[in-house]
Order: sequence, then structure tokens, then C-alpha cells
Amino acid sequence: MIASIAAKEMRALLRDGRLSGLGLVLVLLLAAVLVSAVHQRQVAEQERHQVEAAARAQWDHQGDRNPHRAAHFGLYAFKPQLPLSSVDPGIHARTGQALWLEPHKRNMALHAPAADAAPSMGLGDFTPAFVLLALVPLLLAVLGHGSVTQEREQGTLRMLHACGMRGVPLVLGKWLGLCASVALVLAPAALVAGWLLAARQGAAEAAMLLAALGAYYATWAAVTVGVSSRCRTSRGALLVLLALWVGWVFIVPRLAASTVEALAPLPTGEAFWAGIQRDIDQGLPGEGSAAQRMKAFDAQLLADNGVARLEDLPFGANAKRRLFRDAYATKVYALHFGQLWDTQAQQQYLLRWLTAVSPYAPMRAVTSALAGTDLAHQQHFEEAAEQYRERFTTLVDEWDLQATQGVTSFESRYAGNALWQAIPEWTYTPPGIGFALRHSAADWAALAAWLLAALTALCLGARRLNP
Amino acid sequence: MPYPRLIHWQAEGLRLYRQPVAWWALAALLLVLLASATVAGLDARAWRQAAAQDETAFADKLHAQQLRLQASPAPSAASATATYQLGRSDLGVTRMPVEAGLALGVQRLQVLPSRTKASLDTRHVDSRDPGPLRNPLLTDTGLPGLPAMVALLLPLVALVLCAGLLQEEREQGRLGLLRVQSHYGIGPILLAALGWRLLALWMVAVAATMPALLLDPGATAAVALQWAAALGAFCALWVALGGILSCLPISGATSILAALGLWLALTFAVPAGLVLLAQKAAPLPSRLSAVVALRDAQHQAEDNEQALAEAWYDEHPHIPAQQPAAWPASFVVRVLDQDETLQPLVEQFRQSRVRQAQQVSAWSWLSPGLALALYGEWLAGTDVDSHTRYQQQVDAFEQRWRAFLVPRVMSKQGMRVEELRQLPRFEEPHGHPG
Repeated sequence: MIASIAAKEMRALLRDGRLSGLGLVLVLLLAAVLVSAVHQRQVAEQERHQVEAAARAQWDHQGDRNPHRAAHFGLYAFKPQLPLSSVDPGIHARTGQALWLEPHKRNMALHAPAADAAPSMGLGDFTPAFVLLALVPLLLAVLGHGSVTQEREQGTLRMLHACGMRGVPLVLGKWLGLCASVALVLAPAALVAGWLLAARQGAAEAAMLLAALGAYYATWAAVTVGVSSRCRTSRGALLVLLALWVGWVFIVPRLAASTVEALAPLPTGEAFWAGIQRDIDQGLPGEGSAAQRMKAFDAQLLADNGVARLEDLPFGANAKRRLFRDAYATKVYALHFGQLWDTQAQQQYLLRWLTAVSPYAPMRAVTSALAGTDLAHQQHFEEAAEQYRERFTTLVDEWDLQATQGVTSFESRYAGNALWQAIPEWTYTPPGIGFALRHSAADWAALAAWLLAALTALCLGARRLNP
Repeated sequence: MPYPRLIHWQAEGLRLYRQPVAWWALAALLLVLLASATVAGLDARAWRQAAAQDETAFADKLHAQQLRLQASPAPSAASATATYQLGRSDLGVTRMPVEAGLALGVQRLQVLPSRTKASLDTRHVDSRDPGPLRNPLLTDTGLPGLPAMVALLLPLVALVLCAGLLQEEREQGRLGLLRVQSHYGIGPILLAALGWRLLALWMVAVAATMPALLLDPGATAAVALQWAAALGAFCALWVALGGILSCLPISGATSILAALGLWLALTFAVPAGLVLLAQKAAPLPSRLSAVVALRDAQHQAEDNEQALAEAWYDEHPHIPAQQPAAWPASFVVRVLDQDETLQPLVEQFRQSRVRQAQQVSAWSWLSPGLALALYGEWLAGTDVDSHTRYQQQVDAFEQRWRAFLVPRVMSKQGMRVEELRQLPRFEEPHGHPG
């Protein structure tokens, strides 16, 4: 029975010019935006590889320099973009593209693309994710708003009721028919997307994205048919669905984000950096000031080596002291950056709860996680870069420790290309799909809950379907 | 066309009054815009409060630097080092000047560098922005700004109220009656209906968005009037579009769908297209490639640091040469050389951004929402031109900052405590030029 109704709905929609017309427009739009996004990502990745190689070549061939001065010249870490980032760039535009790695200091990424963007309305970029997550649900609403109300307006619902047709099979059939029709229209676009993305090391993520989209569209289709079954007129149903669409896609996420910023604000940049400097200079609670720690360290160093002056040490004194100071600074930076990440995680947690009233928000979080463009992936990259920073600055200082004796001048240039080239290259392997799924588990659960709730509401509402 | 008479206004007013859908739509619009306006107003208020505390914060920082200088009195190498550290400190932090309509464009301050620091260090690698720290997830998802929220929602409500007016009459069989009963035809009736809807929309938009300016202590009545006028024009345009759709020989449902398509096209597709065209017309140089150029400049400056120091002393014969130059003097001349080398690249970025903004602005009339958003940013002083002027002001301030401090570092004498009073300050000019 349900299958018959679904087949009938599909036939009716396929005969309806709206499905083919609007569907074709949407598919062409998606294809155009996706091809453009994939091309942009390829160009960006190519440039990243070139710049990485050029920056590394600058490091490797910088000639004779003081090792500490050269370390401050530093190395750069550039975040790679995963294949699915073409679909959903996530927070990429808001985060810096280049992280400068140098001794003593942990920097934040530079050059966020949003700061250079051309003036716009600020409603978000026209990305494949916007088409998939915002426009396809609108298509569902436009196609399905009259699925029950038209039956009511034409009087056929009364006839079906008189023939013994029960509400639940009727609405489930209409729901399935709507889902199948849209799936048919989107199938070519899905194949093109799969070929563009999955062929480039993203097969598992693309498959999970497809599954998530299936659940998402099924939720919207259930809501659409559910609203249609409760409204008296098609126009009324369309207006209600439009209001829900605008509310869920645009208003709820944005108002929630502003509320979260007010409830759990981040510190100002000035306060953040000043806090780090204060803890380095004055020491963490109970650990003494920098001057006190350095004095104690120097005294221990001289005592351990049986000399009276730093100049008499049989190894590089500056390097030894730097290793000590930088270890403490790294600890302080880890503490403050950890607190910053924790606050951001708390903000994300609050945002998740406040946006639970919209199916768009968890779906957006899922696509962002699968695309590697969410906060968790950004933190993973920055932590990896920080570990590399500690490693390469320690290697340079350890070389300096062995290569010199006593106190040396920062003006003397005694390290050469052999040292620079001995420093291991920065390589970053983005985490796998397991990482993305773990960090978006709550969002997957929310999506599943939405599907269950929408279908339950659809069935409960259908039991009281009034012709 | 005959104008609407009193009876037309009365009839259509009563009709609108008896439409619950219209009131629900207007109420929802009011609530959402009010929430958005409150957030924008509070953000603007917080910015102004922070700006008001800048003087106190500066005095505290100055006092801290004063203590450091007192600990290493001039003239001495230690004082020169303390002066160098002062030159890199937060005393050089600036704040972007804004206009009276800040609440209408305050969201731009989330992405634009608005607290740039003048320093004896190069700005190009300084990621320690003293401005607000932002969670990129919230910035990406957050409210886009009050004019953008108006541009997003008001057209939808306008089209819901106005599109399908005549189609509805036709489908309910009343259009013929209206034609024969009305002495002056359908025109005045339609105009009266659209007029009431325009008035309702405009009043709701003004009432919902004015709190943003009321919450901002820097807002003025002039800005409020300009904003109200812009809202009036915006409402009129969308009501007119709705009226045109209403006159088309299509069904009511098709009219609504056409209105939806129009809204999507003018609110999303056209602005995206304009931005794409602007990016193609004036492409920005690559930030990643700029990193390579920066490192080349750094290496070149370091390799030539002694020659650069010598050249500096030659240009400033009144400062006794301290050769060979050592830190911090050697670093200062390197930074001056680096920044001079990179200035053409910095200018390329600025010029591209300005040209992109000009391109988008010139064609923004194709998208009423985009035009409204850009107008809001202009009233707020957070548009691209204002930010470019701010960056140029920072450059000029940095030149004065360095001109004051560099000789005191290069001389290895440092600065005396009493000279702190003469430290250059960033002046915030107000008002759009011309």
C-alpha cells in the first residue's frame, strides 16, 4: 500500500513541471558551484605545496647565521585542505592559513581569508554546502507542501478516507514518494560529486556524507509532509514551511551563536597575551618569577659543572639557558592555549544545545567534521604544529649546546646549511575519518533524533488526519 | 493612474487588519529583528566602552614603561634596550575610528584588523592581535549584521504580504466584482493595499532596528534618520516588486514561488556573482606567496644589517654612529628595510581590496539587500574605504612612532623618563572625508 502511494507520488511529481524544472536548476547550480569549489581547492593546494617547498628552501639555504637568530627566522606550517573541504569550507575562511613557528613564542595563525574578502552581505558564501543543506530542503518544501493539502482542497482526501485509507500509510507513502523523487533528481549530481571528490582520497568521508544527507533530507521530507497534513490550505502549508526553513537555516544558528558569545565569552587578545607574559615573567602560582628561576638554574648549572662563571662552562651556556626558559614558556603557552581551546569547546557544546531545535545545525556540524573544516581539526593541526615547533627549536638549541662553549655573541654566525638541512621537514597527516566521527558523534545523534522525531510526529499527526 | 481615495484606504486597511497571517508575519519579523538589533547595539556599546577605557589603559601601560626606564636611566645601553622594548610594546596599539552608525556595521570588526599596533617590529608577522579573540565557529555561524538581517527577512515578509494579492482575488472569484464596483478601476485599490503594507513593514522595520542605535551611546539623530530613510526605500522596492508579481497573469501559488525565486536570486545569487566578478576584476595577491616574499626581505635585511646601519647613521649625522651595530640597533634597521621592501606588496593588497569594493559597490544596485548592507557599513565607518584610511593612518602614525624612537635606540642612549610625554599618539580623525 505504502509503496503504491509512494509510486503514485513519484509519478505525480515527475509529471509536475516543478520537479524537473526546479530540480534541473538546482542540479546545474550544484554542479557549477562544486566544480568551481573543487578547482579552487586544487589551485590552493598546489600553491600551498609550492609555498611550502619555497619556504623550506629558504630555511635550508639561509647560509651562515647565528643558530638562534635563524631559529627566529623560523619555519611555517600551512594547513592542508581535505577533498571534502570543497563541499563545506567550514571555518576555513575565519582561521589563518599560515602558522609561524619560532622559539620562545607560540603564535596564532595569520591571514584569515575573511579579512581579505570582498564586501558582501555576510550571510555566508555560496558553497556546495549551502546548496545541499539550505536549498535542497527548500526544494523539498516547494515540491511537498501540497502533498496532503491538495488532496484536501480537491476533495480526494475525503474519498480516500471513505475508502478506508488510513492516515499513517498515506503520509508515509507520500513521504517516501517525495524522498525518492528528490533522490532521483539529485542522483546525477551525487555521481558527479562522487567522481570529483571520492577519487581524491575521500571515499569514506563522501560515503558518510551521503548517508548523513539521506537522513537530513528524509527529516525535511517528513516535516514537509507533516506540515502539509496539519494545514488546511496549500498556501498556508507553504508559508509555514518557509517560516520553518528561514528559522532553522538562518535565524536559530545565528541567534544561538550570539547568545553563546554572551554566555561564554573569550578573553580579549590583549588580556590573553598579557596573561601569558605575566605567567612567564612572574611564574605560575608557587613557581617563582622568571628571574628567580633563572638565578636558581644558573647556580645549579655552575655547581653541577664546577665552574664559577657561565663563560667557563664546557658547552653553550646561552643554549642551555634557552632550553630551560623555553621549556617553561612552552608549559605556560600550553596552559593558556589549552584554556582557550577548552572555552571554545564549551562554546561549541552550548551552541549544540541551543541549536538542537534546528536540524540544519547538526547537519552542518557533520559536514564540517567530515570535510576536516571544524574546530576539532583546526585544533589537531595547531597542536601538531606546536609539537613540531618544540622539536625543531630544541634540535637547534641542542646543536648550539654541543657546538659552542661558554657565552657566545648573537652576532656571530657559526651555523650553516648543514644544520638547517638536518632539521626534519614539517609533515602533517590529517586525522582519519574515525577522528571526524568521534568529534561529531553528538551531532550524528542529534541528526538521528531529528529523523526519529520527525517520523514519529508525522505518524502521530497522520492518525488524526482530518479530510 | 487615479490615486487611492479615502474609502480605498479604509477598505484595504480593514482588510489587512483582518488578516492574521499578515500580523503573524510582521510579529515574527519584529521579534527577530529586535533580537538582532539588541545584539548589534550591545556590541557597539561594548566597543565604545572599551574605546573610552583606552586612555586609562594607556596611562597604566605608560606608568609601567616609566618604571622600566627609571630602572635603566638614560643615557645608557640598558636604556636603549628598554626604549626598544617600549617601541614594541602595547603603547603603540591603535583603535580603528568608527562613525555614529557603528551598530549598523559592528559585525565587520569581528574580521577586520581593528587594533593594529605601531611597533619597532614588523607588523607583517605579528599574529598577536590585541583586538577581541573570536571562536571561528561562532564568527562563521553568528549574526551577519543588522542590515543583512533586514535584507534577509524583510523581503520575504514583503513578498508574502504583497505577492498574490490580485491572484487571490481572482481565485476566490472577487476580482470581477472589484472591477465592476470600483469607479476608478483596480489601480487605486492595489495602491492602497500596497501602501498599507509598505507602512506596516516600514514601521515594524524602524521599530525593530532603532534599539540598535538607541543602545549605542555614539549614535546620532542624523544617522537614525538616514537609516530610517534607507529602510523606507528598501521596503518600497520590495513592496513594489510584490505588487508587480501580484499583477502577473499567474496563479497565487506560482506568484509565491516566483517571489521566493526572486528573493533567492537578489539576496544570494546576485551578491555572490558580484563578489566573484570583483575578485576576477581585481584579484588579491596570494597571502601564502607573500610569506615567501617576506622571508626573502628578512634574509636580505639580515645579510645587509651592517650596511643598513651604516646607511642609517649617514642619513642621521647628528647621531653618533655605534658600529658595528648590535641588537637592538641592528634589528631596528633590518625592520625598516624589510618594511620598505614589502610596502609595494602591502599596497597591492590594499589597492586590490579597494578596487574589489568599488566594483561591488558600483553594481550593488542589482541587489537591494547588498546595497543596504553596504550603506549600513558606510554609516558605521566599517566599510572597506574606512578601513583602508585607518590602515593609512596607522602607517603614518608608525612613521612618527619610529621617527621618535629609532634615533634613541640607534644612539644607544635610550630615552629619558620625561620624554615619555612627547611619545607620539594615534589621532583618530572622524567623519567621512569629503
